[in-house]
Amino acid sequence: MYVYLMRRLFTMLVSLLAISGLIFLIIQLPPGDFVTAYVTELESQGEMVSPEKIAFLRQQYGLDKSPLEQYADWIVGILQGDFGYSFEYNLPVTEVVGDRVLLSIVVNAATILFIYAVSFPLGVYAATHQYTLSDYGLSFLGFLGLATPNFLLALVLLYLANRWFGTSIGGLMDPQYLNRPWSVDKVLSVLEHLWVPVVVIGTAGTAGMIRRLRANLLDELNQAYVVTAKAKGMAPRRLLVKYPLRMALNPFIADIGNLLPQVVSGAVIVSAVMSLPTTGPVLLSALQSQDVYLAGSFLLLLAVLTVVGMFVSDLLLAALDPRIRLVSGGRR
Amino acid sequence: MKDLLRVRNLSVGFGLQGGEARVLDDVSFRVRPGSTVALVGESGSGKSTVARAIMGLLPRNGRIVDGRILLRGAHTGFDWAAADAHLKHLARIHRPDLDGVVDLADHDPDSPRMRAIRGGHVSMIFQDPMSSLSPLHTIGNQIGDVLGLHTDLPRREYRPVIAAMLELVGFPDPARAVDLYPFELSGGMRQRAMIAMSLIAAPGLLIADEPTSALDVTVQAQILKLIQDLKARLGMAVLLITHDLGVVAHMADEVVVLYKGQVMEAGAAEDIFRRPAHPYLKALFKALPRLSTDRATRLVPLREVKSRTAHLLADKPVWPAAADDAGPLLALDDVDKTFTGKKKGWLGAPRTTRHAVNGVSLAIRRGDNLGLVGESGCGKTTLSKIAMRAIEPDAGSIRFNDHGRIVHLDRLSAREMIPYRRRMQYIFQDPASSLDPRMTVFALIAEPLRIHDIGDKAFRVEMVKELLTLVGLDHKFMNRFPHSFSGGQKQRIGIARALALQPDLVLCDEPVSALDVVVQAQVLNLLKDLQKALGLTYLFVSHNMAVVRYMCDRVAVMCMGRVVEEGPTDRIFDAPTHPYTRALLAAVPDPDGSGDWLSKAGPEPRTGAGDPAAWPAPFAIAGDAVATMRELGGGHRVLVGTGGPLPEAAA
Repeated sequence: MYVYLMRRLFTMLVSLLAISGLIFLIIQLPPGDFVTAYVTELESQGEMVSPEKIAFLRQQYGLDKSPLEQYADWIVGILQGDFGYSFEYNLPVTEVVGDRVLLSIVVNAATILFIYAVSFPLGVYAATHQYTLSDYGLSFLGFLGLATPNFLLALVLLYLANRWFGTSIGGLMDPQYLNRPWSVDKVLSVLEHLWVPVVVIGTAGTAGMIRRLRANLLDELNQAYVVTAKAKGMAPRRLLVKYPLRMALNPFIADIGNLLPQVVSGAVIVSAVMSLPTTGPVLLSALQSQDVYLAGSFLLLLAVLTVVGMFVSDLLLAALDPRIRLVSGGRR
Repeated sequence: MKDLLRVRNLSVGFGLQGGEARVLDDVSFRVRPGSTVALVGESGSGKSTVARAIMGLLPRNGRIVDGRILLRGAHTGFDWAAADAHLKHLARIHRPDLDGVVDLADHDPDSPRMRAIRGGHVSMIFQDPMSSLSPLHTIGNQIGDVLGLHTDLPRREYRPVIAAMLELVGFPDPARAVDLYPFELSGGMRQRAMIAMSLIAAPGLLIADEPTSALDVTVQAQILKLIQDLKARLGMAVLLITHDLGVVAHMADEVVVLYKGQVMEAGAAEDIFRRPAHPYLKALFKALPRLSTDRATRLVPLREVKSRTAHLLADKPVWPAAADDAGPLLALDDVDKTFTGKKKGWLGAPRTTRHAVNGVSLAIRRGDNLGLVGESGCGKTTLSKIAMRAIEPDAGSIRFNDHGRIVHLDRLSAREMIPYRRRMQYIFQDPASSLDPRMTVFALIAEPLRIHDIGDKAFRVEMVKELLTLVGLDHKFMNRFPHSFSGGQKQRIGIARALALQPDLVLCDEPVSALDVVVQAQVLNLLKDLQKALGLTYLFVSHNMAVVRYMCDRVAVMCMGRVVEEGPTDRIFDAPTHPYTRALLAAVPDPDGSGDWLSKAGPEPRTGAGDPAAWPAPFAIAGDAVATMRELGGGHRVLVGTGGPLPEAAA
């Protein structure tokens, strides 16, 4: 077990290093760099920029070094806790991201909880009542939810809220709390605003999850061990929870690896539409303006979360499924 | 009511699109306390539906249309006070009793009363012990469910009781076994765990639905013996559902024969076997190959397949007169194959290796039918695949006699091999999964011709028509898809496909093990007729000894990757020399056999029959040690490990 853990941690580090290289490479791929983009923008506004200034800027930002050196600087910095400097905001990356990461986590964690809380009972219900009116009804709602683009739902809700209540439901807090230190009132305001993005972002996920859980559970319900349990005289509800539902959970545990990065980055477009102060829009603009260190740090953070998420889900799977735990050479 | 169970005029219907199908029609029988009643029939006869109806486990679209299922509420007739030390443990369980007679057909399957009966008074074991147990829970946990549902034993006392039960069903280390998961057990041990689970609440009736069909023949004997022993020890009754008449002959006191949902014949087992009255049962007996059936007598299937050959198939290159002097059609020499388990990471456990085929030499003369028998995992399928180079051997040679010219198939490149692929074809075990459901019968049978680019469209149509006639199918079926055929018909399509290229050698891998007895006889006879008509040579892989005796000229017995005995069929069956061959033959329940078959079966799990180190001298082989075949005369050879004289051949 100890050996296994060490080996896993080591491969995680290696893959993260490879990912960071790829990230850096891909961000550098488009022609030009941040300074070119910056200069073009200034020139389009009618300002002239002297070549000396451009060279100065390049040197200032370290863009005159070779890409390999830039990459090395970036990685070494990260290892020392310095994620680099955002050209666009003229602030260290950590400060740009700061609050936004927290709010992203709040929004998306709430969304995930919402998805689980709603889809689990409904999915189990749909599976155990296959081909009944309520199953068809849920399936219809599910497809509707899957088919509606999130941002469209966001726009419709924004419009309706404005029309009926005359309020803006965009943002995550009332305007007076913006850029203020955290207080009890501010937290309450966030909670008040939270439900709309959660519902908007969560519909498609909920619908998909209901369909998946229904399909998984239906497969399990037809297994021979369910008949065996019935033959023992078990009551239907206890049987369902102890045997087939337990089996149907495996795919969801395996999915945790994909959930974690979503918690931070999820729903970029909805965030932009609803002007949520989350990380999604920042990442989008950082990529557009080739803000190397901001975008890179972001993507690296997502990579770390993916790798860690996979690790966690593997451990959970091993804990929950004896076949994985024992067959792969583990000890009891 | 003296009977434990009385089924009266039971009719069950399954709701289908556009109406209800009657699956059981006016079925009546009884089970007396402490007796074994066998429900016999082909697949689709409704025998499992009877069991499901009794248990209240009919599928959602099934319902009891009419009739009564009367159960006398009683646990086993066993006197717990007089129990031996072993059973004392179990006797501490307080079991709530059922008063009077209950009509199970009258109860909602999910009602508390029905749930108390199910598992408490009537319990059931199933065919496939792998899928019938939850893979995520220990067997102790799953057996504990029953204690929780049907007894008032406090949870802390579960463990010793479960361990005692596991010991009773033959687990060598019961205290440890409580914590094992099903996938850590062999098929036979899993079925033992199932039996422990179904008997721990001491039900009066055990329903066993094909309890041994998924198991090897030696394991089958052990499990049946266990059921028989426990029946006597616990005083319960058994309702045994099976298609195997051999099993019935040795287990049952009474027999009920079902056909298309109706009882054809019922009565004491002895009468049924000695004087079958109903034509269906008579036909069934005539269609059944037995250990004593030799190749001269012909099985009589319910419907015989008429096979006719025509000009295209007859048009085959003739073998020169002296061609057979060059050697056998196919010869394998010292073939070796080791499978290596997946390596577990850089630092993980070392690779596990398995010697699937261990220095095997075999030869098949042209026109012969060589039977290859052995239990699952003995390497017989691997060997047959090596013979046609579907699997590459690690060592050894494969020689093929091509009209008098010997070709070393193992030395050919993949491209050079192609012309020889036409000369040997394969018939698969499962006709359902070996035919692509999206291809028509014509496309399926013509595919080999297309691959080898033989003939034009008109030729192929003509050929497919001829092949269908050959296997007794109407050529009007050419444009249908496999799903519209029965299992036997599908297998005949598979045979037609194998013959499309006019091969010399046909490798039959368990060609009838997925088929019912009646259909089995039909396909076996067809294979025999085809062999004669087309001059085919068969390598016939099977675990069914009776079928092998009926079909083959020579037999090779495999165990743990080695051929342990080889010789003419009659010598192998009448004078088996190797202990493994003897164990294999002794384990086959023969419907004609005397009543002591079960007592001869090894009672212990993991008997030495399949373990080369446990064979008596001179047969014993330690590990991977080299062993040699010793000639016994008349082409009869047996594998010996150490030196020393052979014991007298069994008469």
